[in-house]
Amino acid sequence: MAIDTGLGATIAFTDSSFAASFTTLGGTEMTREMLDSSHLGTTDYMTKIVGDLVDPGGFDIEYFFDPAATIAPITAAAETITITFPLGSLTTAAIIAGTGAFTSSGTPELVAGGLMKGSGKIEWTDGFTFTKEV
Amino acid sequence: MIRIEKALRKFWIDDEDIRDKIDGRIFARRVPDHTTNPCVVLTTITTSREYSLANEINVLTAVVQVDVYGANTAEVDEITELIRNRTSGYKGLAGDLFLQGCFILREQSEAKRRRDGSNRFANRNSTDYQIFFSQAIPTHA
Repeated sequence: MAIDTGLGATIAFTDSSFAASFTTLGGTEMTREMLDSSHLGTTDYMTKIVGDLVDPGGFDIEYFFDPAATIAPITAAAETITITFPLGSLTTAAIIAGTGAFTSSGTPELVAGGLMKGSGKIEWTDGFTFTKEV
Repeated sequence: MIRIEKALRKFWIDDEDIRDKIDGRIFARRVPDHTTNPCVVLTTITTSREYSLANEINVLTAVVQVDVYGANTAEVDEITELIRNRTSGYKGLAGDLFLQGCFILREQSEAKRRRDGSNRFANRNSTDYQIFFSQAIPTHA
């Protein structure tokens, strides 16, 4: 096991081929509901049951904006997106792969004395897979 | 002298108005012995670098302290203003560097009694410039 930084991580978009100097690939937070099953006879604590479906969620990205390049393709169709983690101590890097699409695409804030950064949000259209480093 | 100091020196010496006042007396980090006034001293206070997930990026930020020394306040004020006029808000080539933005962060004036026991004062204006400039991306080779 090796604790590591994010330096060396990559993201690939199969169809749109969107590429940039990414500074942040946000983490995905998957969620699922807890359904309240409490009733008039319940005492002390609420009771809950686990919902059936998981919301695969999405993640934010941020990148150094190049005015000669494209912005995050908000009009692109859902496509295969592969995030490759930095390679640690083994031989094949961990990956996250799934189908997703941009749900937001931000142009950079223009400030004297600040580097331009673009941003975006990607949502998974279905569950994704995480393959650990081996 | 690191690259930004060299670039600023050339940038200002190439300016006829500045050159007429200081005649090339722009130095790195300290005033050499036996130098005549007026003169300018450049000191890089700090640099900061930005990284993408892939590598260091091709823009570097430096804070450069620019000290103008002169015989009297009028002289240092005039040279300080010439430098500000040439540099503040500038974007473009300076020597072999491309400056992507120059911003004044701090300005200070002072007059100190000279150490030679005379009644004369050493006049100094000090200005900190934040400068963004291009650099090569490391190849790690």
